[in-house]
Amino acid sequence: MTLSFNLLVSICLAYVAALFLIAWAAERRASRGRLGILRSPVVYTLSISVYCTAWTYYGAVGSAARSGLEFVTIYLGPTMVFVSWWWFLRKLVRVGRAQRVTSIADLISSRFGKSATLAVIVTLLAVAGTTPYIALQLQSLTLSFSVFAADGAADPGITALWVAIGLALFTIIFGTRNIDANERHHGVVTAIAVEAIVKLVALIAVGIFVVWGVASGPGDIAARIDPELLHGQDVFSGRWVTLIFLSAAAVICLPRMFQVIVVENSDERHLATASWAFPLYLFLMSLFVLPIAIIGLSELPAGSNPDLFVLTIPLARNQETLATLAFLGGFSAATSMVIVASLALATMVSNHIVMPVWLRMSKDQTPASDDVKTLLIRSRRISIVGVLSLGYLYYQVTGGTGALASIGLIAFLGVAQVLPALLGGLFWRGATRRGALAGLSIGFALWLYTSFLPSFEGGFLLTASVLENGLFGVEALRPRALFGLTIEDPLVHSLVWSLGANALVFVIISLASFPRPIERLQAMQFIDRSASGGARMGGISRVTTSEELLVLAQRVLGRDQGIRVFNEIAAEQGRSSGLPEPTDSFIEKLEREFAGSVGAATAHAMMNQIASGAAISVQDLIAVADETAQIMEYSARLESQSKELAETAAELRAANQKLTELSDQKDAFLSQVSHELRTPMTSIRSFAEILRDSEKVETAQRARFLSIIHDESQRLTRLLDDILDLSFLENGQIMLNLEEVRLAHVIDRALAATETLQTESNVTVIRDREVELIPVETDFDRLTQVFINLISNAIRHGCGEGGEIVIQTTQAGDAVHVDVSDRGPGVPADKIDLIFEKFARLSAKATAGSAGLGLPISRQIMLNLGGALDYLQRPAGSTFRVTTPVSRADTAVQSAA
Amino acid sequence: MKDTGHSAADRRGQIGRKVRDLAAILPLLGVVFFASPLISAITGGDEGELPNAVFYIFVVWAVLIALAFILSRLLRSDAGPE
Repeated sequence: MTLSFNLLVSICLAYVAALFLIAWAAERRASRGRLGILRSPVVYTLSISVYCTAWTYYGAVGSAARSGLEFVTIYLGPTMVFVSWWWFLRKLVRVGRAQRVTSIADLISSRFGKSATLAVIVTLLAVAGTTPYIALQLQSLTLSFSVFAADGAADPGITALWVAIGLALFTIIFGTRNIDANERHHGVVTAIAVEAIVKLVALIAVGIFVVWGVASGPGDIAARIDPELLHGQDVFSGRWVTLIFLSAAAVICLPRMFQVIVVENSDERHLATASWAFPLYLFLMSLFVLPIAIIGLSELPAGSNPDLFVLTIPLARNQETLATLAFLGGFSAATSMVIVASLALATMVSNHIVMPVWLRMSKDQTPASDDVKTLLIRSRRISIVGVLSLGYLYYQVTGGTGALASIGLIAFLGVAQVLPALLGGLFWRGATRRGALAGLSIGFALWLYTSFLPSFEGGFLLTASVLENGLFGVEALRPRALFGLTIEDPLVHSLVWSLGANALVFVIISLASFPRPIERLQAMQFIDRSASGGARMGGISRVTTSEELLVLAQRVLGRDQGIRVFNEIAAEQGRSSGLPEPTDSFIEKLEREFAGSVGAATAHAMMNQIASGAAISVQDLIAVADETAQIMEYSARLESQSKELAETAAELRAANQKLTELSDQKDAFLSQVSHELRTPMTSIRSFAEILRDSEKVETAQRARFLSIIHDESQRLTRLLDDILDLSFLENGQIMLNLEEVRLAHVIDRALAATETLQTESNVTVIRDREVELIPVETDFDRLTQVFINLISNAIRHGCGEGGEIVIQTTQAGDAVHVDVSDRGPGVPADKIDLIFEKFARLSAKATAGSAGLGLPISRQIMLNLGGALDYLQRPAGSTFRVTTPVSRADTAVQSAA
Repeated sequence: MKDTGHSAADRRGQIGRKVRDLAAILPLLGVVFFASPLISAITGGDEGELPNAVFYIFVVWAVLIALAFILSRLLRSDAGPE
């Protein structure tokens, strides 16, 4: 071995320095907003390959050497998960992004009503499952170092310590530089992507060297297969399926995988690329595993550690450069895993254990000037150191014993306990917090008892005798054959018990319990992606003021970012300056921002603390219900109001139409009046002109002309009187001289006034004067005027020569009807409505001596006198009925009699 | 074949649905070919030789990746943020 250990260490340091540089450059680019390649699907896919740790890098070859194809299962599981991205990973990523999830513990806790207890359990589970895994990486690193330091130049313990310290430093520097709201670490991700390329290139290089350098092509490899491997047992077995299932579960449940797949995802579309590119990466990683194992078995001396074939084959062939590359590949695999795992775990520990404890301790304190951000960063740094220390401790305790693969699978099974709660949370609305708590607790306990603790082989808590004879010597409690269930493979046994009981209890308790309101709310947000904008329970945080929120935000997010977020929200609300309104959507947004820093449960607790309301209580729900009821009532009121408005509008329209009609009538009236006035004026003017201009007019003719002028003037005066009269009557401005008169006297007077007309036309009037002696309360002159009008109308239009007029009087209660009938042609049915209109004349013949105002005036008079004037339709002739009230004194007399 | 009167957009929608259905079936194919007794039936079970099994697994795997690649191209346009 010519490659010196020191040179190797130098190469390592140089490599690490390069990684630092890359991470630093990426951070710089990101902080300047030039994300570009940092957010490309390629980087995303490469970062997912943090799945391939030193365990798969070195261990896969070891596994292949020991049990043939089995190593492939570890890659097949993730392949299946990624090809199902469309309906599974996409939803996971979408929910994770919408809820600003920071870790898998955060996701579970958030889904089940932001339960702090659940978050703690998942965190503990993750720590328990990841610590041995970190130890594993440290072990493989020291092992690979020791291959080069054959002379024992380095103490494995010291090497592991230095590696752990170096990794802690890197993680702290690039993992906790800032507490970003969306929890993305561009520096770390970029460094991991580079390491992913290094390990792939290294393994393929070794593979090519082995197939075409050591052996002479694939045929030769096939010929060299160990007979024991060649005819191994059946590929398909319970263990085969178990391993595929476990690796599929692990690729989503492992804290570091969740970190890179969900938390670091910046664009959902990257999944489309990862769906084939990551399986392809795994395919390439596993392509040369079997050839390396086969050649290692046939070339290297018996008893060589198959886990180190990747290093020892090139070294045995004196290919130092290749060996160094292979070493760097393993180094990359181990370091990237440790960095991401400790970062993810530190986030969980600080968000779900440290922060809640701090919150509880400082519950009633006023906000100190020291902000939460500082505390958060400090607690994360301490957590990183703590996690790595635990890993180192584990490594020291187990002393680097046991095959790598078995520890890895135990860790897989541990984190797979989260699977039922995760799947149930994403797809089953009925999953409840109690169910998840119970399932996780049972699964966790059974995993510890049947898998994790026995892995120490009696060295930790469970003694060798307990492993052999069961707890307290009870046969049924043997950790590897629980309740007499003997499955040869301890891993399958443990999986059946822990995950089986976990899922079963989760489902049963979920069915038996009812979700709290906030759980149902969260379930809705998780299961209906469309609803992930999120409706928050209204009315819960109204008491919060923006000032309080700003103080809190500055404590959690840091001064500058807190102010920045507030300004953004204020701008969104359309305020140019000042603090935003503490609306529900604002509070929810803020809570999500917080969730990005401290996790959903803690963020929720903080918001509730400041909003001085505990969790969503029944009272809150009632308040929400009340609010809804109020809104419904309000909308009902609005509806009725709008109906009223519609009615009013209809009325207004009708009134407007009437006004228009009236205005039309007025115009028609005016034009009628002017027409009526013109006719007499014209004759007056022409006769006056004749008299003025011609001097030879005979005296007789002159007299005739003058009498025409006189008549026309009179007619004009009468017309004007009528119009004035009508207008007074219509406005009710007429002065009435009410007195008690006998109806007979009124009719006598009217007949006397029309006597000339009667004799001219030789008309007979038939009446019963005895009946007419009824006393009525009326204006004598006005009522006479009405009768004169009716009688003269009857004479003019109804009788002709030698006709008769019938005046018939009847008393009906308080009123007297006087019907004036003639035997004339009557009024055609379609003209009845017109006869009471002004200037309405039914025929040209009727024009003479009448302006057509008689009936309208008469009707107005009767209305003013408290009576009526109607036209009665009879088979022949026309009948007008005058209705006038009987004198009150008379009614009194009558009723007394 | 005569056009049955479906509009182009309608056809595209139908094809899109088929692609999405295929995307849902793909993992099922993986389970059938990798995690079912089918695998021992094809590779010969206990009597089978290792190279056969290796050949079978890697070929199916490659096909699965190729299908995933094609599907991701077809689905990418749908995968944008909604």
